[in-house]
Amino acid sequence: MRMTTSSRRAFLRTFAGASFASVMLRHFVSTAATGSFPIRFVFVFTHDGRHQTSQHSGTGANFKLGASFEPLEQHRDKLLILDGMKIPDHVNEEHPNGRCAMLTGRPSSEKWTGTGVSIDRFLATALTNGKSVYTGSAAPGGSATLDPEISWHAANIANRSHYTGDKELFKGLFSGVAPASTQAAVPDASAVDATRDNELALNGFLSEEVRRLEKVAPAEEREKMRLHLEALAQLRESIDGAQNPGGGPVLVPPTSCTDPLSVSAVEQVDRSNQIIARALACGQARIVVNNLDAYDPHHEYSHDPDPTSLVALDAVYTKQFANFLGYLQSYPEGDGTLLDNTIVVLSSEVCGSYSGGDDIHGTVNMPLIIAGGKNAGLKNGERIVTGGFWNTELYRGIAQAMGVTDTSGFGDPARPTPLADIFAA
Amino acid sequence: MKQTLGLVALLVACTGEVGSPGASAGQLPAGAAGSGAAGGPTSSLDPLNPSNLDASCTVDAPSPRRISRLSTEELLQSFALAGAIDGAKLPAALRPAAIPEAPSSGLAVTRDFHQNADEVATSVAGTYQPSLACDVQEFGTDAVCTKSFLATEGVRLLRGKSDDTLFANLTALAADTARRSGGATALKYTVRGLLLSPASLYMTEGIDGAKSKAGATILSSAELASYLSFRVSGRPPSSELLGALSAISSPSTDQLARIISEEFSSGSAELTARFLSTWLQVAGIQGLSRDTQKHPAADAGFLASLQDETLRAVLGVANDPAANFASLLTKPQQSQLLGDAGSAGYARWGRPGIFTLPGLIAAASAADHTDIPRRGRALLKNLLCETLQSPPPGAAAKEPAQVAGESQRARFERVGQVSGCGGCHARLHPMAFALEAYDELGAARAEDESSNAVDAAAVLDIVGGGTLKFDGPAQLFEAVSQDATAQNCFVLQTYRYVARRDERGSSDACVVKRLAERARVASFQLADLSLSALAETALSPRAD
Repeated sequence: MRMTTSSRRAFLRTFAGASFASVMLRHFVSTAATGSFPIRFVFVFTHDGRHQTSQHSGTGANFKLGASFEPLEQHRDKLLILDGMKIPDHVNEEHPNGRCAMLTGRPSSEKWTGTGVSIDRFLATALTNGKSVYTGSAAPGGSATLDPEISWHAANIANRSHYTGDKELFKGLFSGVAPASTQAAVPDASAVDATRDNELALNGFLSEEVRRLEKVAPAEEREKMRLHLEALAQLRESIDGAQNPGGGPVLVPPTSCTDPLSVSAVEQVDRSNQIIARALACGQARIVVNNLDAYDPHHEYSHDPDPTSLVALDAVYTKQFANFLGYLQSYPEGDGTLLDNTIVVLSSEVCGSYSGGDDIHGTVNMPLIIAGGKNAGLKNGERIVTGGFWNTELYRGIAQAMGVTDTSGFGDPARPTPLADIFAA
Repeated sequence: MKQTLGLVALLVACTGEVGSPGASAGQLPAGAAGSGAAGGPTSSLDPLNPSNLDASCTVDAPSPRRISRLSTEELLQSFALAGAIDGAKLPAALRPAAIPEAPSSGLAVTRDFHQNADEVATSVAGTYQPSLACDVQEFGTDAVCTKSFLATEGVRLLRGKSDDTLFANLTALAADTARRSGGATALKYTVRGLLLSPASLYMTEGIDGAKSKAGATILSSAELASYLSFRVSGRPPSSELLGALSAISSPSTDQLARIISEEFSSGSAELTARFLSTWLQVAGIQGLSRDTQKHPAADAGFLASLQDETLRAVLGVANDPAANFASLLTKPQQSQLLGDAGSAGYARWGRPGIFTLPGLIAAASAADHTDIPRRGRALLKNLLCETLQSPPPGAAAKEPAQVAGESQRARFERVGQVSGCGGCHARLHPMAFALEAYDELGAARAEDESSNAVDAAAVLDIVGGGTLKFDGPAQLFEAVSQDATAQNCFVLQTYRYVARRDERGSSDACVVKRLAERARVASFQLADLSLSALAETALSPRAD
């Protein structure tokens, strides 16, 4: 018998609704048995969009990541790629409208305005007394003219914490917080700057010493000193936080809340991601919306008919996301890691480049990757082509995985069923 | 001048017509055995001619002042010095592979240094705390405490160097760091600063030494201690060695030799082993590539075993106090790895001396054949200090096609008949013909893979005069061991190793001549030659 599209979808939804309960029941039993680590939620995005729509191929465990997602290969057994998800279209090419639709599951009704609560606000209200964490773009100029938040809702804005840049984030998450008994070594708020300044001071000292030796070296030996100074200069640039990552000492992510927090990564985004991981691990945050964007002119790139620059930037952001997953994995929790207890969603607000005409920043085939969440019952190490489910349904599934069973207050009421495909059988 | 003219004539002859008896007494960095087809003098400075050392010694000139970076091994040993105190635990794995031997402008080099130093400093900073003159939280802020630390641990980590300006700059760095991050962090950054300072990373010569009457400098006691200790043992100097040297203002060669023997229990053996291993490039054997279709057993494990067998043989020579140049070249060796005991080839040729060890034979061979020119080039360079120019462009195209079933010797004898090839091939072939007694893995053989009986007889004219006539490796190496040019070349190789540079023609000629004269009296005993070369070069005045 040939099943029509509509009847097939109806069948699947009915089946999904029936099977979801049993899947979740198994999951909750499993979670109860593994310990008391809370399930966290992080939405990661770049607010000026990605160039390409989904580029992945293959299904199940035999998937191949798209070119700009290759840095995630190291984490492939922790990924759940969701392609074919539908996201309400927005009314025009405006970036903020894309953001509204991405997390609310509802179309924006007017420019830059959402029509419902976003999933992060919904979860925060249900799980953390409304407390959630947002990171914003620290890039000067350009992007700052646009609202950097992907999550928007008219209500309850005052109770969110919005931090721009790693310094604000660090201060907001760790300053003045009385350390719990397991948090003996929370550093002071100036540690980020201090580490960088210490590295710079050491670099300056060493450069001066090499120059001193150069002055007394015989002529034919001075080339060695020159090369040494050149290397120190390169290192100094990366310490300054320019484009060359890894200039400081080895980044050794802490493995527990009692370890000193190292936030010495050179890239600001990496530093922010280290801080977020620490906050999630040590009970300072449970719901986070993390905007990786720190580069200008990202927005201009997204409107450039030549996609070269935007494509290159996509790969940079993917690498930063991969780093973030690595930080989450560095915290052991039970038999797994923090990543196993965190549902991380990577997407954007719009995809495709807009340069006028019919080419708009759309939400069709938006890249959407879930990482982690194994202990919440999510599938790991697979690619699924969902066949037209909506992001409202995805977020309902995530909410229920986090223990929020009543999701009636969220998203499109016409799509009440949680997406069961994301859960391991 | 006479020597220079002679070299030019030989170089021209080497690329000349068939039958030209050309060769050059050239130079390459010490220990470049098996370097293949590349060759030719690499320095504009005249190399010494081992056939005639007397002619080059006109004035006893000072040596050049050198500033050399520590090798990977030395660097890691130097870093480990930081942990050589009770209770210190160094990181389990530093990253030696990431640190190239040569200075480089690459960012990775400096970053690797920083990463290693950071790990070391993190590991040992806590250990230093009890010995501080203040509470660790006061370190950096309390300048007296910082200076006290530098005067003890700083001097120790800098291998005896005490530099007021350096310590003042470090004290300022510690104060700056303490202000931002507290005393414990300041201590860690101070240790990093010490480990990464050029005073730690480089070995200097004559930078802070005393001036002689002629304006040259001599090595300071700290420089002298590093010079001796790193060369003998690969490690930084001990406090005992530093103390012994600082107690003598101008040590003589004999005093230095005595101090070395007192401070290094097996000093001459270790020094000789390091020299031989470097000269013969033993460490490169396991990285060789063999034709595994032809030799299925020649996998990475086999090559590692080959290297190990070679190294053990080298250590055996170095630990033999009676070993001399002649025994090095002629004392029978045996390879268990290649099953010499039951081999007809071994019964026919034996393994006379270190150059017939399978590892060294393999290192001078191609992956799938013996490569007579390559073997010849390696032997000429190592034993007679002759370096030939590279083949001229298009030389390979002139090579006649190999005839099925012919021996390698027959093949290259035909190559030698090709117009323009004969000059160099006449030099390359003779000693390599003797090594046809061994295949490309170094296995002894009575006949080659085409069942041709091995013909290992040849004649080689020595550039400085004389002729070597031999049939097989035993006669070859016996003849070489008695040849004055080869003996002087061995002195030169020793000199290059301890000086860590090629000789500079007439500037170094008198030192090398003295060494050769002393070595001759001592029958070219290895231990005596190594130690006297070390003492001579260490005490030589330096000048720019």
